[in-house]
Amino acid sequence: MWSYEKRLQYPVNITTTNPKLAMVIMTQLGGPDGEKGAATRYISQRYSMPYSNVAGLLTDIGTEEMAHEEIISAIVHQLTRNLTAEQIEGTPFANYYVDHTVGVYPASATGEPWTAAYIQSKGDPITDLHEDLAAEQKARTTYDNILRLVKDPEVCDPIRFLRERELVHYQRFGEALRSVQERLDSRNFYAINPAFDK
Amino acid sequence: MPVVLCKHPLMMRIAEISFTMDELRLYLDTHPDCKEALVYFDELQEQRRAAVDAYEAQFGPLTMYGNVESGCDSWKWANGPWPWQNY
Repeated sequence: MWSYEKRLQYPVNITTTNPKLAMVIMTQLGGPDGEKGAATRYISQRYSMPYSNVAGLLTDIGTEEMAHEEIISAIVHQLTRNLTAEQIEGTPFANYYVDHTVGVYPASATGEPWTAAYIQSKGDPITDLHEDLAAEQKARTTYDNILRLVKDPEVCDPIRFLRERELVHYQRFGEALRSVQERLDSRNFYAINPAFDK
Repeated sequence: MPVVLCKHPLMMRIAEISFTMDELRLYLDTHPDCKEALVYFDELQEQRRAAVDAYEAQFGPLTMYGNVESGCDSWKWANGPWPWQNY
């Protein structure tokens, strides 16, 4: 069960629309290293995680990623609301507009719909935590790429917040991996699936 | 003048306290015996309760399981503004 609060984890208050920028930032909602993938990955991986402290961490980070989906969606919405067809014409947002008007739809920067093929839930704690560490770094790189393209401080501010969270999540997943390894045979950490091979 | 709720001092205070708790929650997941963090989390819990009560009394329900709907003659939860609306 989840409990909703009528607030964003970090405020978004963008006063100038920008369809070109919206198309780029949308990838962190529905792209290969976006927040929807992050939330779905961690929430799905919980069930085969035999260590309750790590299942707890997956729950808490997965929950935060849902809040990040909402932040990215709010940015895309505020960058595109009240746009006219003339303002959209000739921008990279035009193809998206044809299919979704200015609704928020989880797609990548190139317009590919979000797919669960972006993520993995392998049923192996070691494998899944390595996937999670890589995912946090890939998201951080994507935010760095976005920040090089953003000049509007009202957009930079929440994007910088989200980038910082990737670093913290990476740190915590690293600690979780260490705690899993401490329960295993130090001579051969990686030979077995500790959730399946008894 | 449009109401930008995310800029209201009470909302900013709730956001700050809640974020610190989000950060501490993850830290405590991997450092469950850190006494300093446990004490800090307790303090923030108290502060957040007071800030949420003050906010809800003024603006209506913030949380799904709040009790601010009791005694009202119309349903407030679904009223805007929603968090992504800054207008």
